[in-house]
Amino acid sequence: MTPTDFEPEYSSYKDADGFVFYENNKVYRKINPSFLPKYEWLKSRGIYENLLQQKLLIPFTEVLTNKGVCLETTIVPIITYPYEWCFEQLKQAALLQLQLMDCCLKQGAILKDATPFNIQFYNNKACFIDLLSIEPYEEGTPWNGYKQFCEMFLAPLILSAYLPGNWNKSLAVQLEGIPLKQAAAALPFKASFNSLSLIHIISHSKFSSKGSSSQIKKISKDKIFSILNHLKSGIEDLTAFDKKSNWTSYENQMPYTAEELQLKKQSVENWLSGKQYDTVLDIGANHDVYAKLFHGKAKQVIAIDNDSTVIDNLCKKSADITYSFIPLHIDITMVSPALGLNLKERKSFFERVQPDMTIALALVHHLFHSRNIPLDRMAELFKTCSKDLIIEFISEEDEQFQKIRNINNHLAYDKTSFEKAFSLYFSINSVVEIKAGKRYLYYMTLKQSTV
Amino acid sequence: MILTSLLYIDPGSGSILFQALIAGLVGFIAFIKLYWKKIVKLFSFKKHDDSN
Repeated sequence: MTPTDFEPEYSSYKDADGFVFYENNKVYRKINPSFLPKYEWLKSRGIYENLLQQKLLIPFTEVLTNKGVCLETTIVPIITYPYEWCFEQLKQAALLQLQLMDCCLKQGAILKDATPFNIQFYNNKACFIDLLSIEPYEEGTPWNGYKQFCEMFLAPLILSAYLPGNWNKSLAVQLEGIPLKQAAAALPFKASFNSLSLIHIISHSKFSSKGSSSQIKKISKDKIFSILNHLKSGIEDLTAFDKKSNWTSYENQMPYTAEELQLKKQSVENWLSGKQYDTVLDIGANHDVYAKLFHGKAKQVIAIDNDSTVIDNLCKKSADITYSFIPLHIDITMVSPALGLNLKERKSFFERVQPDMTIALALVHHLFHSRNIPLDRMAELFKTCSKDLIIEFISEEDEQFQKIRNINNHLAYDKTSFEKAFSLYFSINSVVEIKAGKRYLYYMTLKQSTV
Repeated sequence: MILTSLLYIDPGSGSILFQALIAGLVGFIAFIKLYWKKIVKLFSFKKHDDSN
């Protein structure tokens, strides 16, 4: 959502060549007078046009406002951050950054930085949004964004390829990237046999703090192309260390009969009939079976799950999905907080994502037993998500419930307690018994008094 | 046109020196890798042919 009055984007303070601002629900990038000659030169060489044709750049139009020459850019409906992405998403972003560098260099331009915060997922594809990152290239100039690329893209990717876990998450506490020395120290010995990690992380870390500007020599364009090609081929070959989890095969072992599954889908479809949503949040998405039901009913679906492998799989599928579908590696009990300078540089998840429908299927029993979250706190959590809610309650009699049961949790957990806790904030519009005495599907709407 | 402008990120002078040092090496590795992939592809094609 963009403001109606003039408001500069808080995170847009580093670049002396311009800044982002919002006005009348539109997004603009102001070009400072110092950068105008360079912008005109890039435009005259057809560089922007070429990148737009290849769909590498966010579409924009040049406009003259009372603030001077500005670029009105297409609004990315949901801004996401690299620490919310899975391995595949950061890999796509890294390959886009390299492709842009390659295209720019071939046309006499270069990217002055290399941060994944300049990339967003638009129409289910990585797309570069920082138009002022592109500047004319002067023959012999080194690639100034090389170190930043290694710290912000390559280090989390290589660490996730050699060690368990999604290392993109560490970008939340190290917004400037993982220092090369730290990445090199964390990598296992076998990473030394991969030229990508040996050269760009391990050996690079020995040099990153050495040298003085007097030692800097000119570097030919061909040399930069060699580095780009090596990075590209190495990153293309990288795969995440975590390839399977308890949840990756859930789609094939769902605890429903075909009829029960059909009833569950049909109930959701009935409730969605005639509705139109902007943003749907699918919590604990696992697979895209239910997200697909929102095709034509929502402008975008955000699928979150705390299992990075599940999100990796969803990400691979999203290229074939014809509506805006954004999978994110987020735990709903620990969504991204506001971070960075004055806690305003990177906005919190719910500042950026304001869903009007939330769907949470087969999730309540996990939050209750794996996280010990009482039902009243759970209702409070969903209250902050959206006005409409489709939620499944799984009773103690269910086989899946028995598997994850925490015998030390003695808090109240039954259908009546669930309804009582949620009725505090929501009106229960409809309930369907999906599995006799075991699984119930609810359609609720936030009460006017709590909005 | 004056192209020189102030850098708003620290490129790391050691990193720039390092770029100059590795460029030849990574170019050679990429060259070998490309031909290695071609050789592997050639043999995998032959294997497919044999099975037919």
